[in-house]
Amino acid sequence: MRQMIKKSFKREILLCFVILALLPLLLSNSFLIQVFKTSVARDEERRAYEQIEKVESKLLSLFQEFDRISAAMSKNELIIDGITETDGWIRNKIYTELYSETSSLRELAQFSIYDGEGNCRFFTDQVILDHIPTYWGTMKVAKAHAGEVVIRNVTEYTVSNDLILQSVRSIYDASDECVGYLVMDMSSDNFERLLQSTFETQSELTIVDNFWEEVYSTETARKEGVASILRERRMAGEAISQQSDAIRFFMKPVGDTGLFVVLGRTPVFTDAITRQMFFIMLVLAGITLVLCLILAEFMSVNLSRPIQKMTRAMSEAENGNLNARIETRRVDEFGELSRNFNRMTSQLKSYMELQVRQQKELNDANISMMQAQLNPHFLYNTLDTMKWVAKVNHIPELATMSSSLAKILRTSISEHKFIPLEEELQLVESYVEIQKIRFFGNFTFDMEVPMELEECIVPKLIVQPIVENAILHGLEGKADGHIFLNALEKNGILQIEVSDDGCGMAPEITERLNSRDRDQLKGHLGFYNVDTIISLYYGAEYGVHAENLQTGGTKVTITLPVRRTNEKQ
Amino acid sequence: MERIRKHVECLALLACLLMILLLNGTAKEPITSSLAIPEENMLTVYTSHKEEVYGPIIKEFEERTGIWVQVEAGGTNELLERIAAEAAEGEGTQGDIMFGGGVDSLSVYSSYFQSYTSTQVQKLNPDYIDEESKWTSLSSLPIVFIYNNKLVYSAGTPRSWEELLDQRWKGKIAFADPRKSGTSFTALSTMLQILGEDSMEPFTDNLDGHISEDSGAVLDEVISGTRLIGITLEETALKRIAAGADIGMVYPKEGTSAVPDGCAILAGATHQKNAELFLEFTISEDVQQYLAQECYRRPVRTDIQTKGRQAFAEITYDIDWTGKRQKALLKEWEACVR
Repeated sequence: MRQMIKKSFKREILLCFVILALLPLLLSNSFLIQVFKTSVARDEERRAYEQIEKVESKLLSLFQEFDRISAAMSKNELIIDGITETDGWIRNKIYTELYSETSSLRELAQFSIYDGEGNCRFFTDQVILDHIPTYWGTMKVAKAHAGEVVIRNVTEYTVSNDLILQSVRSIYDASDECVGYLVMDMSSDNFERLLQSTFETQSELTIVDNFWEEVYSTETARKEGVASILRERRMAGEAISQQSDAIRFFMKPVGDTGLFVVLGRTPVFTDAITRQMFFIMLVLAGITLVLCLILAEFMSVNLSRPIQKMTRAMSEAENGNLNARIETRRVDEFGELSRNFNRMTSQLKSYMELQVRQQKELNDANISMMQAQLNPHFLYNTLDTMKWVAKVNHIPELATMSSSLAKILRTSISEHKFIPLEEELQLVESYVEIQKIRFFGNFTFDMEVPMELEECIVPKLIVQPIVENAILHGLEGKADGHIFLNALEKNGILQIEVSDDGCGMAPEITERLNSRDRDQLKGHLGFYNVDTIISLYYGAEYGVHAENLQTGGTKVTITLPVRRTNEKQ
Repeated sequence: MERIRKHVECLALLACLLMILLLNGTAKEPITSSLAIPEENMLTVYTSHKEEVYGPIIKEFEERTGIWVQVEAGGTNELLERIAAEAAEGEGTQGDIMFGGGVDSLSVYSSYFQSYTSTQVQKLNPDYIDEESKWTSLSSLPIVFIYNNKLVYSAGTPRSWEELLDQRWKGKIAFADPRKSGTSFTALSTMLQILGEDSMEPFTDNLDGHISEDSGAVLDEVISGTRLIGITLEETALKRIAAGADIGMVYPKEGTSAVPDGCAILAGATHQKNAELFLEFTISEDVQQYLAQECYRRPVRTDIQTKGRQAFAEITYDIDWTGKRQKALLKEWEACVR
């Protein structure tokens, strides 16, 4: 896995992006959901308990009121004496007492007075239970706890199976005998009226007694059997609210009455909403992932394309294509690098071209020299024959010319590219012999070469073309011209000077001769060739230089390093 | 260095996951210790009584003892079969005590009950005491005839079991299926013990193919006049009369059975002490008085006054014979009514 990621730049970038984008998103979202959930649950709990407390206070104030009223009534002589009364007038008076005392609560409950046998004698609304056993249940407890109100849940089975919450206070007469009971009965209708607007209508409210048996339930709670479910849970030791419930239950005891108020609320933050939020989070994560993929692709292309381009251009250059260039408009580090590469290849290219040109020029000179050697043996033999024929026929000029030409030819056709200066000078002398005959001895030729320089090694045929130039151009149109050749060594440099006393040269011609430009030296090929040969062999600082002498005439200087026989080849 | 970084990354990831998990698990609301009910304060009661009977008694028991009672209500046979099934599974019974059901039915399943002799046994009617103390009686329930006051002239009401076989009542008797109703079976068995087993066929002939849905339907049919007379329990009849039904009640002159219903502690009861407490409570003076006064039953205690309750000739109902013959008798019944 790690290897797989490391192998690709794109994957590395993608991993970075995913970690940077996805992890904070997922973390912060789930954290947010949880925080939101917790705070909503806390808020709901607070609201639920607010409602429960309202219900509780309503119930408690009702019980307190009944406690107050019943305490007063149980001391009422009229009632104590008149419970079993059959006389209509007294009964009326008792009823008046009962109604006036209970006026504040009559909307909320029914009130009855039972005699000591448990038979109902007086009632405000209707008879709830005609007879209640006194050895049993509420009455028994009330009888035993004189001066207290006993609250108990009873079911009326004979007619309606209604649940009734009975609050009973026993009435004792002066002789400490229980003569009757004051009873407050609360039915579902009464609870409904009492608890009106104390809790939200969509909530489920259940009131249970100390054994968690139903006392009152709102309609939905009764249908769902909330009380019995909760009782089962309590007996099984389970939590009142369970994860699987659609509603959440909140519970609180009502004072010391033994009753409990249970409120069921549908949680706002249901599992479905949680799921939905997590789903949205996942969708967001998905979108982020896609964005990461796209960005990673873009970034990697942005970074890797110039690298690829550079790699390609480099391999092209490696294969010899120095025209390889990297096109880029970027101004960042990649652009800089590309431009540097381009500069490097273009410099490399011009250097290579220079080398090729030099090689080519050398080849050209060689070719022309080889062409000059065309069929030399034939020419040589012919010239020898001509010499002997001339001698036989006593034509000495022709013999001399043939012999000199043969000498020139021998030297020029020899395999050696370098010859001693002495030999070169002999060749020049032979050439001059011929030219003297050609020009009817119209010029003189002298040379002055120190003995020690005669064995210097020079490229062959470098002096002859210069002497030829001097004869043909320097002495042009002049009778009795003089050509002087001397050689000298100065600081290891051999200087061979050929000067004439001719007409000299126009300055532009001097300039052209010294320019070393092949195109400008058309018609002065001899001069150019010598200069090229010397500069190719020894370097550009050596060569041929022409100048006009102040005395008139021209001097051409050949410069080349001094090499002796034993040093070279 | 690389390795350390790796470890740090792993740790960070782990911490994140842990945080998510912690936040996710909403703290379960444990039941507060004050609300938890200790095991010794619990009791599971199987009862075949109607809610109006067991409700107030169990409520009173709870209030007096502070014991939380889990009620499993159902038909007598249904519950007895459940007890047998639970015992057969070997995992022990879920219930502690069987409250209700005729002692004839309880006797059949006596092997699933433990013997318990009540401390109040001297106060009980000696006729209603089990020799093996497997069950303790609760109340006696005589079988009576009822008739529609408007449709049956009081002088012409059936006075004896024998009269039921008379052609006069053919198709006019409301009688529940003894295969479904325990009361009905007891009535059938009583008749056979008085008139002999060969009375089965003429009796079923006289029903003329009409069999009431259940014991409650017998009352409804007589009250509505669909049938003229019916055979049911004194308790049921009295209750309906008290509720205003215009019917009359006759105790057969040959005598009738008054098979008590009872209470039996299950063998292997988890809450043995509470079961005993409950059993003692059911035959206490208060409960017996309550049953007599509020539930129209005859108490099994001899010291309870039953004012206004008519005396009747009681036969000795042969529980053993009935128990042994039950299946055969029902088969015969099935053959006769087909």
